[in-house]
Amino acid sequence: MEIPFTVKPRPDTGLYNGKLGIWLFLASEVMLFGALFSSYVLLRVGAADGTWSMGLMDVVVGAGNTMVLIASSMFVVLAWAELKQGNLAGYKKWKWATVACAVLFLMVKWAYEWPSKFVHYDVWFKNSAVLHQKVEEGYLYDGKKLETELLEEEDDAKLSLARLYLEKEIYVERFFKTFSKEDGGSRKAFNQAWDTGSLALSGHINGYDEAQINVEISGWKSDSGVLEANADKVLLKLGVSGDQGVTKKLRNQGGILKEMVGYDEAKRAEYELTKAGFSVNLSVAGYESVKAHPWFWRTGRINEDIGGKPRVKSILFALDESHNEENGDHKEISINTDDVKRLNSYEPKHSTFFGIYYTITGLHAAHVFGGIIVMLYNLLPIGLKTWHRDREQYANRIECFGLFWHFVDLVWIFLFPVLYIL
Amino acid sequence: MSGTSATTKTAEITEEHHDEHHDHHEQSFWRTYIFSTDHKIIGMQYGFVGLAFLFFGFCLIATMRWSMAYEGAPIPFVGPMLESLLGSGVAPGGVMSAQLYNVFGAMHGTIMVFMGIVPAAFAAFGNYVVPLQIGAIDMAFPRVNMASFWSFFIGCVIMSVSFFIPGGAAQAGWTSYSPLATIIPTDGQTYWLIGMILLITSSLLGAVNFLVTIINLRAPGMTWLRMPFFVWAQFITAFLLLLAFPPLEAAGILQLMDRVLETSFFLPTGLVVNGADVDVSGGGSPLLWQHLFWFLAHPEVYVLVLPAMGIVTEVIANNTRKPIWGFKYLVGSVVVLGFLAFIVWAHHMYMTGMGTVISAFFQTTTLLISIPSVIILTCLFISLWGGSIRFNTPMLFALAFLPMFGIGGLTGLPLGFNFSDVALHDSYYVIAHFHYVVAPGTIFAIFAGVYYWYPKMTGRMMSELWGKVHFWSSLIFMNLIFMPMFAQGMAGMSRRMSDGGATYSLSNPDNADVGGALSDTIMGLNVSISAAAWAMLLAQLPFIVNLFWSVKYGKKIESDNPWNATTLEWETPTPPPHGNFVKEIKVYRDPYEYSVPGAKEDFSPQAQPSK
Amino acid sequence: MSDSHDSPNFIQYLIKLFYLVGGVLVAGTLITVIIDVAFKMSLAVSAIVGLSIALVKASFVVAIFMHYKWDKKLIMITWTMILTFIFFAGMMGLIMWAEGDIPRWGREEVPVVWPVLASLLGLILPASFAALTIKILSQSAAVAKEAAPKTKAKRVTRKKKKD
Repeated sequence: MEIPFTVKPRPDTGLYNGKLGIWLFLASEVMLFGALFSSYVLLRVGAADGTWSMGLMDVVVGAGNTMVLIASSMFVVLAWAELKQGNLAGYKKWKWATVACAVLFLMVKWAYEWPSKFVHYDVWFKNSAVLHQKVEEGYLYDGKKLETELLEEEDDAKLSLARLYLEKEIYVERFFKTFSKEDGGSRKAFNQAWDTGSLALSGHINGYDEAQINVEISGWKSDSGVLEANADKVLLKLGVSGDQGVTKKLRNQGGILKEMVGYDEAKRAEYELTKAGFSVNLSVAGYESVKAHPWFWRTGRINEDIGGKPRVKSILFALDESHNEENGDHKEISINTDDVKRLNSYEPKHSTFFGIYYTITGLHAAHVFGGIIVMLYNLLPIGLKTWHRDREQYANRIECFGLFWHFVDLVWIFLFPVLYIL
Repeated sequence: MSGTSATTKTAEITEEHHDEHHDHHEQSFWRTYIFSTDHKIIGMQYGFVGLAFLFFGFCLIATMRWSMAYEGAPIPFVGPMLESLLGSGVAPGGVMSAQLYNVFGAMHGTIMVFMGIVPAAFAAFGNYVVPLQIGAIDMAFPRVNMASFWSFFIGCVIMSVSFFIPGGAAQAGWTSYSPLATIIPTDGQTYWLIGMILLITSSLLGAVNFLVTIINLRAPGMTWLRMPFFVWAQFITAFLLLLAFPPLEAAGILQLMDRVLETSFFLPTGLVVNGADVDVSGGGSPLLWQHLFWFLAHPEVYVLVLPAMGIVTEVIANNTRKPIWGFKYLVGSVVVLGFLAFIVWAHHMYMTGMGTVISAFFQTTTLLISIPSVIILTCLFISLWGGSIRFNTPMLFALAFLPMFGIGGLTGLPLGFNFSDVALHDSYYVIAHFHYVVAPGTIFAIFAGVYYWYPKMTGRMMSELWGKVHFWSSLIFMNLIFMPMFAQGMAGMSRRMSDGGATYSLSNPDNADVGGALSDTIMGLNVSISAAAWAMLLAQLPFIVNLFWSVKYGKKIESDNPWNATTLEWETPTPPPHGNFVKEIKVYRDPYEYSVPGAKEDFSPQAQPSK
Repeated sequence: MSDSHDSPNFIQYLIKLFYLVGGVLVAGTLITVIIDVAFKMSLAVSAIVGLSIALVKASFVVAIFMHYKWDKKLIMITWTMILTFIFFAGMMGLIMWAEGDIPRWGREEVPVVWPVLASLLGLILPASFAALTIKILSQSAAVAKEAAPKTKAKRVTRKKKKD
């Protein structure tokens, strides 16, 4: 039993099954990515002024990746052409080149492009005075350099200087395009955002003051269904010295169990103790400075309430585009977490733009990944069996895969300008 | 050139060799019945799962009807079961909580639409019947077909499992409107989204397969206009699925991002939940979800209805013993219907404040789409004229489909006008309207299809007597359930209320002075509707018993063509073997050549050469 | 691709074409980047420029890499693509339109002409689609009639050459 037209095209429709199937599949893919593009457009049109975070992409990397994908698209069609001429070796050569390009594409994304965004942060402040003060501290420390420009401005000197600097160096790329929606709205909108304090400062977190927590037992419920012995066992497990009197005293009168421990340890102790029927208080005994470049921090993490105090007291923030004259580092400022309204790395949660950026490129990367698997299957002996059985069928299979691969390239051709340039 | 032809030659030889080898090979039980690539087995798998979920979905609503009729009273029999299965948090003392009502409501819709009717009407009958009717030996891609079924199956498992996770299954209605669906803290919605993505994948694979099969595997002589109407309906349905489902997949991915990675595609700026600001970037659009959802979900209505129309057409043509009146108009209508189905979706969104221009546009297209529907229905009605009708069970169901679908369609017109929709939106009127389309409409057609093709699948007829009992009781109770809902809706009863609207009725002392509060008569209908629903549940027992009993004890059919039908599926042995046809199939005729003047019998099969 | 495009000469020609298209794509990408870096344009202009270049690149990929140039006789692909793009364009357009139509403070009332035009569009779209379908259906019948003798003729010539 053989299904007809798997190899040879049907005369009246002019297509073999596989090709018709892959074109129909591509039609549904057009609708899938079409819906995402539509969402992109609708969200962008509906975005409030200055909230569309464009201009944060590395265009060079994006363009490079585009080239890689174009090359792979060309290699895959050359591989098919070799196959049509009956040249299996040539086919394999081009096909491996395609796989290499695809892997390179994914590596650039997964190992470089995305991770470098996860350590980059934006901070929004609760009130505009703090923003203005931080800008002054971070960018205007070298005020003399811009003195001549300062004199030309009629506004309040410091603010206008800040505006000049910000517009010139940092925010132009990012806000200009969204603001230019309205005629001449750019400067107006920028000024407004400056006045209301809705601009974000961006940079890296170089260090922070993390809470050192005391874990205190305030009592034990005898009716909690936990045996005394078991409750004591939990205490022993949590590092109370083996003396029976100590555990008994802790259980009956309460007291400090752990002093100045880190967040994770305190939380684990709290969990275990609560389960064993203890009432527990966590309180912040002090803050310890940590030097680190944390990933994926969010507002909820830094200002998590521990006995009335935030988990992180302040962060050492290295501002973008603010070079110290002496050592070339980014200028560091200290930000009190009480002042922070929102803090996010450039992850999907950061903004609608990053959300859709990761969604579409992620889905595209998933297609590339699927393509790699299919290519490898076709290159391995198990896939090559078809070649030895029926050369035309194998060539057709490769052609169908090629159609899919070109479509993946096609999506990227539109993604590149939409996400990186516009 | 010589290289290529040499290649083809070797290919032919190996193929022949392969063939011989293949025929002698006995396949294991698992390969034959469970992980089968045969379209007939897959069709039956879809059918069983689909019918099972239809029943399960019905049980959900039967339980919910208790809460609406006797709010706060423990449910007899079922209540303790729910309490022990789902925990006393959601069903304390066997009483349905409002949360459980929401869970059941959302899952009733999801199960009925995506896991009941789509697999039963589209995938099951489509898989079993379409290749037979076009004279193909199998679907174009048998392995893709199997993948499609198993993707569907896994999706169903995920959906079913979600009932038992902490917090229960999805609660935001089958439409899953954001922000509500996004901010519900339990995980049910996440399971729902993952399940939906798998169901969508299954439908997409299935749609590609159907289209390729219909386009490329038609038997010689089977031109486009010689295809039976059922195949046409499936063809258009597959196009609808292929092009309408991806936007929902996109929307599902976006909502999944919203739930898992806390993006805010569908969450507006400044969202406040329980008095607290939600920590999201904002800037999303709740309307976007509705656009993407309804861009699928309106075509989905036609996905539910078109296969049903196809089945009904087959049954009516066969049992009136005359050709379908206006076959070409039927085909034209279904094509235009398929196209228009894509540009009417926002009539579900008149109340969202989309704006007047867009409402006017969608009102126009919505009323336009009634034209092809009416043409189809009219053609089928006229086909009855002058026929020598056989009133067997499938025909009874098919005949009942016509007025029931008619009621459903005509009551949709006031919903299509945006001025009258303002009053009727989200009321029981809407519920009655679309249930008339899909319940006594599509589900009756599914029953007709089961009774009609059962002899082909098993070689035995289902019991006529019990079939008629099933039909008449179903018809009566169906109308007793849904007809009063029109009255309730027009009286202003809102949908999705676990107390059946008691809060807004005169029985609530707060409403003593409120004009338009629901009267006792309207509230009393809740009890009668619920009673009818439970009776309806009992009325399905004859069908279930009949379905299994007849496999072994039904009346054996004497020929391969027990209904004296013309289409190609009756040219096969019964049940059709792997590969379907034992003789070579060629098509010489139009699909419904019944009572051709001068012919020996009153039916001329498509494969019968014309002299 | 149909049989007539299997000859070695044609494949050689194709390979040259593939390199050419690869060059065009690379050039297109470079031009996009250069324009972005060199000129400061408003969003509307840069969108038009950027997407036009992308469109040119995309049409090269579809036409040459995906051999649509030689496949377009094949009525089913054309039909699928037409359908998809109608629905895609319709969806994009209508969603955009829906967004633009949402009443906001400070926006002017919508003139009456738009609902009228919208309704007309609602009439024209399905009518044109019906016409298209009829045309395609009749065309595919013609293709079916033509196709059969053609392939036979080809097979004959091939046999001759082999001899």
